[in-house]
Amino acid sequence: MAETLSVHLRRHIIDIDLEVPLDPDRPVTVLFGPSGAGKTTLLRCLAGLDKPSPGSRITFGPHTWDDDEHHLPARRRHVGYLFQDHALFPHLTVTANVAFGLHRISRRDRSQRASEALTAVGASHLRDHKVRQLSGGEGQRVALARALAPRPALLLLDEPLSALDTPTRRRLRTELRQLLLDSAIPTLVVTHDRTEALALGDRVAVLVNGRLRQFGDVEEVFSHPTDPEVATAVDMETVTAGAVIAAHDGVTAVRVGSTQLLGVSDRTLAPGSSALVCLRAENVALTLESAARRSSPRNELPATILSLIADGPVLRVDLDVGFRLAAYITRPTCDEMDLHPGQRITALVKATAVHLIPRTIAATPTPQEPQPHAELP
Amino acid sequence: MDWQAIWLTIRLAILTTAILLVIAIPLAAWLAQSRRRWTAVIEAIVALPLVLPPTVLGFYLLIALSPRSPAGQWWISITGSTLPFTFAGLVFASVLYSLPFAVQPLLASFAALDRRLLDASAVLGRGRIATLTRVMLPLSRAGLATAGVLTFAHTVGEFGVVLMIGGNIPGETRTVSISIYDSTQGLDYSTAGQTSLALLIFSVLVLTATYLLQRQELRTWPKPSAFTSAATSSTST
Repeated sequence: MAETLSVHLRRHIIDIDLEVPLDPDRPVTVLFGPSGAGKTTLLRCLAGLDKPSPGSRITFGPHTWDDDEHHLPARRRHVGYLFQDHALFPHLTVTANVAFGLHRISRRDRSQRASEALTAVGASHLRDHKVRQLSGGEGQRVALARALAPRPALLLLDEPLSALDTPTRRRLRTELRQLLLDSAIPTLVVTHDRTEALALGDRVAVLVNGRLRQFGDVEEVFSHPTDPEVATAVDMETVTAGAVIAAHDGVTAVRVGSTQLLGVSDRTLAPGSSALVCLRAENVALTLESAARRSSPRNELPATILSLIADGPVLRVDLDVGFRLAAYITRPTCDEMDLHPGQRITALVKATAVHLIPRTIAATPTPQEPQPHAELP
Repeated sequence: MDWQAIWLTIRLAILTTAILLVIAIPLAAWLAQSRRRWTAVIEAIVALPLVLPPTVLGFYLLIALSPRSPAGQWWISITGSTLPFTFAGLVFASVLYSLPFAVQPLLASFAALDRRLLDASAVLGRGRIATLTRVMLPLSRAGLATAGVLTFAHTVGEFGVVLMIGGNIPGETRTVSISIYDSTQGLDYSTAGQTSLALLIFSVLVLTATYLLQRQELRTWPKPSAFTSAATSSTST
């Protein structure tokens, strides 16, 4: 029987039911969502730092951590917790910080274990430093070593990379993933950064307004958001409203304004119903050739460049294709194609990259360009 | 100068400070962390000596500790002597009277601590006592020093409570401030002046040392400090 971390949590706006498999081969679960979604509160309740409201129940494998009768105090849960800005003890050295949670093992083994943990996170050279002397990235490593040193049963990371500058963050992202895989400790990572979620997670749980909206493998959740708020939360660059024209063979045709698009959906959409069209900028290609061929289920959209904005190593191109569409291209490509605002080009998008999400009346998505169209019957 | 009174006062102040720190540290830690509403009542009681006239406190103590009261009888049964008009009674009264001067600086220090450090300690498997001794106290050195210095200085300067509960027995309950009062009453202005000057210099030195200590602490560990409580107190009553 596979063990799970089972969370039924009620607290303030939070009402979450989540079952996380404790799988050593795929240890990392990302709690993803906009700020205010309740991610950190969930993490704090798991750590035992906050008490859930009545009706909650948290079990970790065979152990009950919280229910209406019991509240296991934080010090007895054996979890590792990485705080957002590290919360290292400023009056202690790096080694003393890492050894702080090792009071249950013999004094002799303590320093051995602390230096192992520091080596694991690549911070052995910081051993005798004072905490005040550490840079952001170093502090993050030391805090991680402190959380890992007691070999916790569960690791909780609250926005582990958010306190760092961008280059350090990029570097540590991959390192952190490898470290978590090596340690094989079940881990929950809170983040609101999509790239961080994609880079770190095996699974992702999307939280919006205190509710679990979607839970699954990370690629699955990100490329197939199941509802409009998840699409907004996972930060699809293009989320726009459309009307379904026809659907057959798993491909659905939708109209967005005056533009017709082919897309795919989890569910069969009835012609006449409305849907959200979700597109990731990575999946939009640009070509100078004019739209002509009508082969594969591919969208070829005549476009006018509205703007070019540098976004990290790539350029974000905003296009008018009858609605606003975002695309990413590399700088060399941009130079080669000599792109400039106002230019007319063609945007290519595979139908499988166009996700159609049935639009519910109650939901309040934020489409970039709302189009007037018939409401759901 | 009345050296006997000075020596007695110093003994009284050291003893009171030592006892009070032992009481005040856990009390302040509990007050800083408790979220229950009725802790406000405890806080108010602790702060009472700040506003209560010392004679009122002294009066109630005199009644409560008299040989006819249950507390007084209990004390007689274990020690064989009464509390009022003895050194032990004086220590007891001083502890109560200086309680806010020990608790408030510590409370301010503890409350200003980064809560996540306490969370970190808990998650790392440490209980309340270990968190207090290993995280809270080392990070509250300024508050601890202020509490100690203020308690000591305040005890040195107390008058009303001493007069009510201790009286004026040389070598037993006659403190410096009583000695000054006594000298003045007896028109011995030169002795009163010398002792007063000594107390004045002592107070200035003590407060300067406290503020210096806090400035140093602030420079290395920038946190809101226990300063507010230092400002509300005076060393003589």
